[in-house]
Amino acid sequence: MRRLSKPELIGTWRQLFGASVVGSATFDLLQNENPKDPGLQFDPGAIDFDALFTTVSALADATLADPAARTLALGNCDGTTSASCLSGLTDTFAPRAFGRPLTDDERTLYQTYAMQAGLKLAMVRVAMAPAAALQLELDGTVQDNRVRLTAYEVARRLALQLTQAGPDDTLLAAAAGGSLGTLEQVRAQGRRLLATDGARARVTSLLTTWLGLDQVSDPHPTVAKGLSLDGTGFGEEARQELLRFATYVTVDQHAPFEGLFTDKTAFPTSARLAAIFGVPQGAQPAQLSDVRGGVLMRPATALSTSAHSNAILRGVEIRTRVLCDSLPPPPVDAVAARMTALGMLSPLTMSTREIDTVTTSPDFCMGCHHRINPLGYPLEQLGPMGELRTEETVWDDTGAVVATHPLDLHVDDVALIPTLVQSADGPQDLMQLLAGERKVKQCFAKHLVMDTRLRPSSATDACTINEATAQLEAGAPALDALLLAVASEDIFWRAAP
Amino acid sequence: MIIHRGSRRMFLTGAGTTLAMPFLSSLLPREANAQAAPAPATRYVQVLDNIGAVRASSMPPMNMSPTQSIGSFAASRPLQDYISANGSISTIYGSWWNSVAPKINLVTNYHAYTATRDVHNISHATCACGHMGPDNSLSDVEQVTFPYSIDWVIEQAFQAADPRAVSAVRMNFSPHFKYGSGNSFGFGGQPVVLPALQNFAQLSSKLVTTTGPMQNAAALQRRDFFNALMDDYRKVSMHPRLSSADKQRFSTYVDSINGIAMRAANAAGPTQCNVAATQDDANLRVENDNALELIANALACGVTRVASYVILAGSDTSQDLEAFHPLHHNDRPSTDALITWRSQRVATFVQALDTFKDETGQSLLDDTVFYWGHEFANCQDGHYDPYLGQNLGAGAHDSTGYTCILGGKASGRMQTGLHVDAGHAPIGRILITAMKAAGLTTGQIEQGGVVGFGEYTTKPPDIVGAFGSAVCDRFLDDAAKRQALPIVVGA
Repeated sequence: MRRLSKPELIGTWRQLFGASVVGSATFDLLQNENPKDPGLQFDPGAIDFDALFTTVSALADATLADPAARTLALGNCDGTTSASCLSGLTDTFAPRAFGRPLTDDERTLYQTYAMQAGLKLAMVRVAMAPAAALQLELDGTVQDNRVRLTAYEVARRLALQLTQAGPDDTLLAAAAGGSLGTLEQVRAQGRRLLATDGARARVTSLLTTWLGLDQVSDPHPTVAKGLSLDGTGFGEEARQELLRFATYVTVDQHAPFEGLFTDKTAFPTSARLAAIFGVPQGAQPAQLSDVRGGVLMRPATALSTSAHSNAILRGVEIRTRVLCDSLPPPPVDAVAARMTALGMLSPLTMSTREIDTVTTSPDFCMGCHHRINPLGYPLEQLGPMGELRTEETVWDDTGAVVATHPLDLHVDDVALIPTLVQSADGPQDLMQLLAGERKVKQCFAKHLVMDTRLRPSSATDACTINEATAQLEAGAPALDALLLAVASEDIFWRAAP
Repeated sequence: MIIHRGSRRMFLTGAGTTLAMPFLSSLLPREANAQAAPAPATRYVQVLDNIGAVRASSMPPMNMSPTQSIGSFAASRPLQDYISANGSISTIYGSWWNSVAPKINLVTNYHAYTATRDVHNISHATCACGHMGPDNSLSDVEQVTFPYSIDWVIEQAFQAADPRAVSAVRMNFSPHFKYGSGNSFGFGGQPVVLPALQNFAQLSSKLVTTTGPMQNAAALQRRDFFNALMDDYRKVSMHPRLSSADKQRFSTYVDSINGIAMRAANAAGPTQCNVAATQDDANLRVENDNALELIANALACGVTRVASYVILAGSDTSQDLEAFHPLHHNDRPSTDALITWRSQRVATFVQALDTFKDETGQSLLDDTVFYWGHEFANCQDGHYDPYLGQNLGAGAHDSTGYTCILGGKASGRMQTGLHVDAGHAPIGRILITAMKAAGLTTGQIEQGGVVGFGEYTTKPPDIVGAFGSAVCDRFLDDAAKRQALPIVVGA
């Protein structure tokens, strides 16, 4: 059992109250899950009922005040407790909230309550009920120390994991008609759901957690001045561009997984994005003609908040997020000792790579940095705002160029896995290596499981992760792996209490 | 009768839990703490000292007189200054007021500007005006001085604004004061008939049958919603398929929802006003405390919105008015002790008002105007009065140099936490201050075509003698007569 996440609640409310009402609402009272740590920071039990009440009450108010939204939510209802409204409450609204038809007792309970407390509070009570706010799964049958879920429970699980919302009417009808009993039937419904807007929200959520994109800071003012761009708000603009790119590749193009690392589509929707990409501004996707492509070679992931590119941080992000390796935090004493020993290394005379190499050269640093630096150095072809460069530029506070350094993009061993030595001559090489590496796909599959199941992956997920990894290795699109991660045999079962 | 202490406490902790528990500000609705604009005061309560006398020189310490000018003639100083320096707002009032000091004012240095300097009647009129209506049968002198009691005036205005409260708006209540019917110290020997609850039995009976008419409907609705939701979660929590970990989660959910329901119930105000307290003629301290507590509950429950109470007793065992009377002439220490004893009773009452919640969930004291007045001002032996700047004669029942507590936040209408030196204002200005703080307009305050409130016919000779006639003249044109002390917001 777990509570619904904030995106799942909002997705469910979109079904209950309509996109127009939900689109105009604010959800600031609800705590955000931490997208940087999928599953790890999600407390399946925590519910802020006060915040839920305030938020859902506002949605119910707005729905009842808008005839179109009211009809969508409750059918032919005039907003009173007339017979048709009560019927709309228990036969249309509540089944969508619970993902199943109501029992006779529930129908009586909510209709009686509506008569006593009014239609609005009855809607709020339904939307906050355990069956709506939680994924309960209590109605199945015990088989061999496991619980086989009902068709409605399977439908809700499928919908929540693929679309971050409850089952739509078609899926409910499939459950009612006994058409969710086999894996093929479930996957057929899953494929249908993946063609809906709900899947777009799921992919956005997945990419956000995978790459830690809940927030992207603006560039350092010196860099923005040096490039003659306004840096204010650029971080969010770049974040949106990346998410749009990832959704485009995954959902719209249904491209193979490798596309996430190599596809050269960009969305230069603003003048500064166009300037960074070196293409004309426009609402339509543009194709980049340089080395850049994929999620790791664009402004949102390349952006640095300091006055120079940050090769080490880029390496750490790839190592931990794309390869799912863990890195211990740098020992504070060691870092301080290095800073004291080296004094201030000047960017006027040394490139970023040279400074990083000298700084991390001792053995006690290289224990980790031999796995970090090689992933960052090839990406030095991208400047601190993600711009393509042929040399490293150093600016002063006014944006004037005060030094330049040649780029060294070669690494002898990118160290993707310990047993394999692979060199790279620049970012494109690195992206090709990452795109072809099984470990990267396995890491992505792990993220799929964590993000859809809202918990850390465990040994029981091994089969699903391996299946999804194999599918990605076979050249399947990321979306197929998502479907497989959700619509596996596991979807029919839960552990017996 | 025997007082049942346990029963009385049970009332406070049982049916009256929502009234008597020490409310935490964190439990209050956010909106209750942040009113955008003053709303009409919903309650007025006055406590009046019979045979009470407070010497101006005894409060507060003169070496800390107000220095901050407010308005044209008055001055103020934070009461906290006195508490910090001396441990109380005044020695004679004691430290019982400290906790509510931010919500009260100590007003000093005002006088009766009346033609008849018969100190007995003038003083009675200023103090005991709560017991008179427009048709009172009191002595001519009193009718001339203050022919309309301010609680009656406020009652009329409240009723006009909120007909809901007509049936239970007023409560003149004193367990022993007989309004002239057999009491040796009554007014003119005539019984005064008022549409009010006048004794324990009536009030208790009223409270028992009252079911919170002043409750906050929105809070009630919220409480009921969360109680219903709690049923939904409780029902699922008993499902046999739930794991023990999930059962624990549901237990947390139910607790959480129950907490919200309880906070909503608190904000809604009492659901039932049930009083088990009875009188105790043998212990005047308990008796007066019970009486005042009943009034606080009645205000909180919506049994009344205007209340008036006369304190007669002067110690745990004495309420012999004939015995008190000579004290004012001959025994200053005993007079001070009498006031101090009463001060504890009244301060405890005001603390209760501050603890109890109104229908919006905020402190009852925050939307109440509270007035504690004394029957006399300076009295007895001749002494130097630094307020007046001269030696006073040995007249008892002096009508010069009054002191009162005028407090309650009055729904944001009244600035509080101050010692206010009224600057020799007529007593009418203080009463107008109370009425304007209660939300009344000048049109509602003025009665019978009289400008201002009460009588302004004679300048107090003591003041004229000490400061000159101009000190009094500044209060006597029509505009000045209509003014309140500059502690009423927007007045």
